[in-house]
Amino acid sequence: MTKRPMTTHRQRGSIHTLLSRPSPFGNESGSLPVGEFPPNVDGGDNGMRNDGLSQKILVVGAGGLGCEILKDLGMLQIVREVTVIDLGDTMDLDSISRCCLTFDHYTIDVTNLNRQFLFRQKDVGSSKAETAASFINARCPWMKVTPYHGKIQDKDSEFYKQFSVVISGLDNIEARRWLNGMMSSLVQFDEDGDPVPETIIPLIDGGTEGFSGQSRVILPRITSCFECSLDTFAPSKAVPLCTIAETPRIPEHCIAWAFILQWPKIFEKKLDADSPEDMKWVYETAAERAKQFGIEGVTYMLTLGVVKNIIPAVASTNAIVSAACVNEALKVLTFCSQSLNTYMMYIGSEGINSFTFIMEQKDNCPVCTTQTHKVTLSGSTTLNELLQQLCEGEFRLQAPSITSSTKTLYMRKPAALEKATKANLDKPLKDLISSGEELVVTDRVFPDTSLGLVVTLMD
Amino acid sequence: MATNDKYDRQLRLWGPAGQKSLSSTLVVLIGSSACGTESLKNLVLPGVGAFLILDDVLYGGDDDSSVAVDEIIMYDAGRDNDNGQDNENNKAGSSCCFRFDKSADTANFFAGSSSSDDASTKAALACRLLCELNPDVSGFHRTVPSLERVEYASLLKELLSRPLDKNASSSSSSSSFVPLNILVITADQPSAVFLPVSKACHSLNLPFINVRSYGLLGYVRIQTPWPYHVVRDAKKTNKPLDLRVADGAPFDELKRVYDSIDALDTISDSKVHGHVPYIIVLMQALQKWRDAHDDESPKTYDEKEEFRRLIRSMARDYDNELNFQEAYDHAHLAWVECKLSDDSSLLLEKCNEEVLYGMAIDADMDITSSGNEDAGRQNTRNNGTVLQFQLMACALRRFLNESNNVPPLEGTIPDMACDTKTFVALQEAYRTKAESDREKLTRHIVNLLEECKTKSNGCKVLATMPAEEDIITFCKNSRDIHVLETRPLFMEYRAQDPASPIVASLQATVFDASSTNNSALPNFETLQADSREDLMCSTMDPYDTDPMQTPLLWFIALRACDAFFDRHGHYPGKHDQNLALEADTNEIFKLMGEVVGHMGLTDCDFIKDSLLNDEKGKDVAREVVRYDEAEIHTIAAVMGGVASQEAVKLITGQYIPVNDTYVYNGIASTAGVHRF
Repeated sequence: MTKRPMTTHRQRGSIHTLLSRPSPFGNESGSLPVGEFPPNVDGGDNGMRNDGLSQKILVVGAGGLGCEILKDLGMLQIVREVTVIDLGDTMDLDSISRCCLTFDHYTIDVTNLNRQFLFRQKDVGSSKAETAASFINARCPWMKVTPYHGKIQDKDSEFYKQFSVVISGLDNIEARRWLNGMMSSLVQFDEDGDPVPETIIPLIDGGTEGFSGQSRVILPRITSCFECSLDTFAPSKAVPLCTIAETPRIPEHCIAWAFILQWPKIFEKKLDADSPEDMKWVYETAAERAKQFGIEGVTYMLTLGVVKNIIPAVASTNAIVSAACVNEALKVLTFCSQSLNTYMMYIGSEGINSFTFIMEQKDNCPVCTTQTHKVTLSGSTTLNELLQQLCEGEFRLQAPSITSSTKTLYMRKPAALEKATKANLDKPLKDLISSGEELVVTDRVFPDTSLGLVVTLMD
Repeated sequence: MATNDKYDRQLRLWGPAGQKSLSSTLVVLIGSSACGTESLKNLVLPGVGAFLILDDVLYGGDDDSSVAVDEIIMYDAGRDNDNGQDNENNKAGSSCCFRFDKSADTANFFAGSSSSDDASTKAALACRLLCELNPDVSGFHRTVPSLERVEYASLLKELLSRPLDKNASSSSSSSSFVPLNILVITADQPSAVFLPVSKACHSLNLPFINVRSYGLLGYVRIQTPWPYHVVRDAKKTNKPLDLRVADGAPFDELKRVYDSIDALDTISDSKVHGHVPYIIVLMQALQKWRDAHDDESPKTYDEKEEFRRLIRSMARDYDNELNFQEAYDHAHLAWVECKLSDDSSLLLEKCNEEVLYGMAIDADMDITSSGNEDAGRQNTRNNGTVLQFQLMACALRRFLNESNNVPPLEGTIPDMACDTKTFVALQEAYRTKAESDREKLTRHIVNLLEECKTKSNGCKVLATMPAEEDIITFCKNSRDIHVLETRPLFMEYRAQDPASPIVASLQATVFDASSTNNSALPNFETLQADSREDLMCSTMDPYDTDPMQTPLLWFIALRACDAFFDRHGHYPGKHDQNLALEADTNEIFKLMGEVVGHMGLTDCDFIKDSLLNDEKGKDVAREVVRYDEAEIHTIAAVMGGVASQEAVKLITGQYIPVNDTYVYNGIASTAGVHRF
């Protein structure tokens, strides 16, 4: 009989093995090279870039993805400093249907516990960023996590500049757009108009929904950015108010009626989606309306889902996407292997559909291209109509302000300026600008960036 | 907070039925490496019933005797460690001349902690840390001298038949856990472990997952229970609509709603005109078309385009009449046939009454379970699921025979522009028809059960009436029914490395035909041939951006590493010296060539130009040698995530599991699914 070797002791290699041995597949050999891999041959702590010691990392979001990302960074064993910022899931502020709504996502909710594994029952009500940071700081003493509990928009470019990589685990499009705009605005250009490499901070973005997710690498101004692929995140289709008011058909319509149309009529205060009493009222009101129209299927669970726009989430998908993101962070920090170029999809509901592709830059991306955009409009179009178009069209702006080279056409802030320019909204464009004039549009989704707009007027 | 249910976000995916399956399942993890504990983490969080971690101490002794199940030290869950029980266990653990070095396990979140841990073994510590994640879950662990010498079939049989006691001596937790189902995961194990586990799971009809993280690479392989895994509810997102508007398809209830609505051109009120649901618009348009075309439906491409134009022309204000836009978008419903998907028809052909009787009637009732491994087949959950599926599939065949091959109506309609009253009436019509179809199918089930009884000759009939909920789900999915049958991993592995000394040494226990019921591998050759074909096809479709990063190349490299381990007892790249690394590289390159040959890919151009190319192939070999089987946390976490997602699919019978290997290449972040 063939001799069968007996397993005696298995001492596996580690991250240090990976970083100390040369590779035919170092970062420089890949299709999206960022730097050259210098193996740390003597296995020591020298070669700062190689072992990531001097690298500060920013993690945005301390929810399902954020908890995983923090753990993954800790278990790499080479990261020393991490800042985590959690803004909670803010709702799309412009969505009419939710203007009367409030709820809190800064703090830990019981429904987080099925996946946000750094939190326990006793933590319900505490700050996500702080609880996650203190858990990781206790478990991974070699890494220091600094929590910041607040909005990403409250921090300026000086704050974002200090990091060598930013990992985003957000579940809301608007915050991701803002962060993408911020990272893009940090890039500086030399005399030849080429981006200065030191000012390019990689942004690694992850997102999940149910059994699917994606992770991607954004090198601002080099690769496509989040804004370039905005089309792949379809805006949620709002049900027309007339359907809700007059011809409800499905339970969702009855629930929308109860919380959008009825609540403001009956109550002064905002609807608190975290309050069982408030939600019970919405559920009962919706159930009553459904009964009246012979519609079946209004349940408390569905009511919660519709009001809070709940996206199903599971631990496994968060784990896959987060780890794929942190794996990219490892590579841009140490150059130990090739970078993802640029987008990886994972769809796990029918078998596994997993594909990697280069997301191309969009020619007229308002964030990562500098070109001006051209529109042709009738001279009688009002300024307000133009702004409306900017919100509803492909740019999907939220609250644009607009100036011409000579005057301020409409500014939302400060209040005094808003008041002074408000009258312009109803004026036709031909009274405000000349045809072919370049206008500058700013919006809260693009921090420190503006959009050049050349408006040609027809009669 | 507005809900107290911590499982709310997942219940929205798999519902209470899925949650119940999950909470009655025991997951057995063999090997507590990082990708193993990460897999468990993602199953403990959503509330799997219980888990058992089995790991070894890998000491250098020469004791070769088989570890009998009863000798395995069993530890209680970590949470109740204040009752003194653990101290005793610790003593038992340390008696295995073993020192547990926590700092050595740097990539495992459930292995090390800054606080002083008194857990004596890897398995014990992982168990305690995992239990902290979810108080609903019971955790158990056992440590054995060597995982290569466990009798897996007896161990699993014991777990199926004897409840896992939380803690017999502790009054605080007298609950015991009796699993309805067991899922087994091997994590980062060599072939000497995963081959016997694969065999044991196959003979006991248990779902099995082999997960691996290796340097920047990893894979997840699932093995379905015999004879197949039933997908009870595929939950496909883009199912074709089942609205029955084509010629001959409308049923009486729908016709009545249709008749109650005025012809569109006679409706004067524009608001009413814009609220006639597109189902009715399509039916009226089709009638109009047929009146003008000798009672024929649109057939050619041109006719279909013409039909679409007809719909548009029937609108009064197309741009503002959403119902006509919807009708235009769904025009194809006017001619699609309502029938089973091709795959479902093929599957149904295999579900005949002879097979059903064979499964449903227990001819061997007298033989009580002895040492015979196949006796275990009677007890597993998968048998019940498969039998129920066979029963309903046979009933569906009879249903189709009577209905001109039109399957039961799904019974739900999507939201559409429509007034409330008509929509509710339509909804009611579809629901009523679906209910009567379901009643018909149920009658066939009852008849089939009667026939089983008649044929049983006094033997026990194992088939029982399915729950109404199961029949509802079956009918809803009857157009597109799925089962998944994978090749057993132990057979696949032998085909890839027939010369492995491990395969030779396991010949008697794992591969010997006499210990394997012949009926157990009826489709292996077919499945293997199919998978070869698939594999050949997939070599035509390399990763465009950089063909060398095509995942399947890296799987072959990993198999070469397994082959290396089988021959040397350690993985390549163990020694740092350049000469040793180069020697290992050359051997891996040679072994890759052998694996390629056994996979039947030697003549494939893409493989010739990559793995078999002296320069490129050696680069691949050099890269895997570089790893020295390194455990990198990010890779382990990706693989654990994938393994746990597949585990949820196998446990709940919802969604479709992967067929059968997911390969992740963390070098360039590419991935692929293959059958090797």
